[in-house]
Amino acid sequence: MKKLIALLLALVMVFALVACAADEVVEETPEEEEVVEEVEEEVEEEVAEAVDVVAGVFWYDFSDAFLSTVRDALDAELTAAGINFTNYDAASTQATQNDQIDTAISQGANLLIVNVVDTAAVDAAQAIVDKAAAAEIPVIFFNREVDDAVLASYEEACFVGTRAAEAGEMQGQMAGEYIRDNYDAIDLNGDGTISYIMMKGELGNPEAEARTQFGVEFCNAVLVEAGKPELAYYDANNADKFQPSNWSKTTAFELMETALSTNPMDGDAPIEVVFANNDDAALGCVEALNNAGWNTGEGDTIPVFGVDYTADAAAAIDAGKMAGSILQSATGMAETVAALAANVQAGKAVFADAEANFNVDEGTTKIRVPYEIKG
Amino acid sequence: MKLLKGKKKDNDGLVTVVDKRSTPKKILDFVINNALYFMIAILVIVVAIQYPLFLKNAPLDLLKRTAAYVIMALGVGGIIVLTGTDLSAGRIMGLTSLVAASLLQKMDAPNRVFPEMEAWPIIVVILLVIVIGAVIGAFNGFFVAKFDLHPFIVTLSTQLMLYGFMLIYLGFGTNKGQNIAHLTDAYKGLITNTVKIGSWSIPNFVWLSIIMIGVMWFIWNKTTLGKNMYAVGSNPEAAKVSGVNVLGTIVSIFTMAGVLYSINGFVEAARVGGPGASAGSNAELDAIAACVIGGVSFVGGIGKISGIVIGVILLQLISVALQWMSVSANLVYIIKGAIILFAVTLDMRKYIAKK
Repeated sequence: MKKLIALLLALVMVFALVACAADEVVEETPEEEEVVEEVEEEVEEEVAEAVDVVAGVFWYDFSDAFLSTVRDALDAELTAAGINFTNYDAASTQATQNDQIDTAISQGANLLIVNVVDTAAVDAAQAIVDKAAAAEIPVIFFNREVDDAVLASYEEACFVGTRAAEAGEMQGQMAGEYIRDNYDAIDLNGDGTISYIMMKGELGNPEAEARTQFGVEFCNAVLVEAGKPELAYYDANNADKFQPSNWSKTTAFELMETALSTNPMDGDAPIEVVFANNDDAALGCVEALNNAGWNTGEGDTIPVFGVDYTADAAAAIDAGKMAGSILQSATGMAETVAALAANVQAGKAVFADAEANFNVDEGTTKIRVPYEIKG
Repeated sequence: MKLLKGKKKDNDGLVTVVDKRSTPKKILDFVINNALYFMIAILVIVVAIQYPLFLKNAPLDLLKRTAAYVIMALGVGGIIVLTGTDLSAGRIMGLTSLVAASLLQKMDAPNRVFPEMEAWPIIVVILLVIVIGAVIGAFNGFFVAKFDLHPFIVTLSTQLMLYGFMLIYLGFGTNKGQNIAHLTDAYKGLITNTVKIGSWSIPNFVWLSIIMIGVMWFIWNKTTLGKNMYAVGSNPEAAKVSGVNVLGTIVSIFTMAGVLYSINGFVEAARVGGPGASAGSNAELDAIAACVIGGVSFVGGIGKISGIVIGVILLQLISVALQWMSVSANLVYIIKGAIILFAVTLDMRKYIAKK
C-alpha cells in the first residue's frame, strides 16, 4: 500500500512538472512574439512584411548519400539567408515524420520543408499538406515526388525535384549511344544481341520504377533506330528483368557476384552491360566485376551506367571503371529550395516569381531541377 | 534448458535415453526433425539438374558469402546461448567499418574524413577497431549483467546511439555524409587478394573466417568461459550457486561478440568497398536468423558452432539458389521468412518433446 501511494505521488509530481513546463512554454511564446514584432518593426522600415522564418526541414533518411550532399548544401544556403532551421531524420518511417512535423508546428515552425518518406501513396503527402493548411504555414516538398492533386489542395504548397522519368531517359539515351558506337566490342560473345543486368532501387519508388523502365526503353530506341536488336536480359527466365539491389552497394555487389557465377564473363552468355538505378549500386557491380578481373580500369571492361554522379562515381568514370552517370544536382536543388524559403522570409507567397526563375511544370507548383549527362 | 537429472546431454541438448518409440515413428521423427536439411538438399538437387553450371560456380560464391556473414553470427550466437539477443551487432559492424575505412583511405580520394592525414599502418587500425568493438560490447554486457536488463532493450538503445555516432563521423572533414571509398590498395588487397586452389580463387577473408570459426569453437568447447556460458544460459541461478561468475561471463561474452563484429566490420569495409551510413544496417537480423536456423535456441544454453556455420550456409544458399532459379524478389522475402519460422518451430518442437 505504501508503495502504491509512493508511486501515485511520484506520478502526480511528474505531471505537475510537465504541466509547469508546458505553462512556461505558453508564457514564453507571447514574449517571443513581442521580440519578433520589435524586430519586424525595425526591419519594416526597409522591407515590407518581412517574416522571421523558423523552418523545420524533414529528411526521409539521414543515411541517403545523395541527400546528405543536399543537406550539406541546404544547411549552408539557409544559414546564409539568416533562416532559423532544424533538421529532422524520419529514418525511412512516415509515422515518425508526421510526429516530427506535429511537434515542429506546435513549437512554432512557420515553414515546413519536407522530403516525404512515403512516395507510393498520396495519403502521406496529403496528411502533411493538411497539417500545414491547418496551421496556415507554407510547405515546400523536395526530392521525393508529391502528387499534383495534393499540391493543388493548398495554395502555399509546392515541390522542388527532378522529373522521375528524366534520369532513366537520359541514362538510356547515353547507354544507347555508347553501345551503338561500340557495338561489336560490347557484344562479347558475338551473338549479335547485347545482354544486360539491371540493378533496381527500392521497389515501388517512382524514381526506381521510372529509371528501370526508361533506362532500357530509351536505350532500345537508340539501338533499333541504328538497325540493331533490342537489349536482352542476361537471365532469360527472369520475368522481372531486374535484380532488387534496393539502392544498396552491398546488396548490388552480392547480386552481381552471384550473377557472375550464373553467367560467367568467360562463358557463352556473359553479362555485357550493367544498368543501375543509382551510383552506389553501380559501384557495387564494379567491385564484383573487379573480383572477376574485369573493370579494373585497364584491360577487360564492360560498360556500367549509374545515376547521381557521386564523387566516387566520378572517380570511377575517370578511371575507366564506369561508363557514365547522370548528375542530379544537389546544389541546384538546395538553391531552389532556399530561394522559395527566401520568398517566405520576404513575406511573399512561397511560389512567388517561381515561373520566371525556374523550370516549372505547367499548371502546377512543381519546379524541376534538370539532370545532366556525365560520362 | 531445464536440467534433466541423470541423463547425459551434450551441447545441442540432445538427450541419450532409451527410446521406446516404434520404428516407423522414429523414422518419421527423424524426417521431421531434419526436414529443413532435406528441403535444402532437394532445393540443391533441383537447381543443379536445371542449371548444370550451378555445381561448378555456386559453391565458391556460397563460400565467399558465408565467410562474409559468419563472423557476426558467431558473436550473436554466444549472446543467444545466454538467452539474449543483440540488435546492435549491425551498427557495431557499421561503425567499425567506417572507422577502418576512414583511417585507410587513399590520399587522392575525392572526399576524406581526415583530409590531411596519411593512411595508418593496417595493424594499428585492426587493433583500434577491435578495441572499439570490445568497448561497445562490454558496455552492452555491463548494462545487461549489472542491472539485469533484457539485452533486447540494451542493444536497441546502443544501436540507436551508434547510428548517431556513425552519422556524425560521416560528416567529418570533407566527407559530408558520403560513403568512405577509395581505400588503400594494401587494405583492399589484405582482404580481397585471392589464393588459387584448383580452379577456385579464394579471397583472404575466407581464411580469416575459417580461423575465427576455429578460435570460437575452441572458446566455446574447451575453455572455462565457454562452459560458464552454457551454464549461465541454461540456468543463471544454478550457475551462480555453483560458483560461476555470472556478471563476468555475460560481460565477457558481449565483449567477445563486440570484437567479432568489429573484425567483421574491418572485413566488410574492404570486401564491398566504400561503407556509408547504411553499413551493417539490419545485418544482425540475418545473423540471428542464421543462428536460429542452425539450432541455437532462444531458450538458452543450447547451440553449437557447427550449427551456426550451417545456419549461415543455409541462409546464403537460399539467396543464391533463388537467384539462380530467377525467383522474383517479392517471393524471396516470403520464402526466407517461412524458412526461419519453420526452423524455430522445429527447434521448439524438439524442446517441448524433451520436456
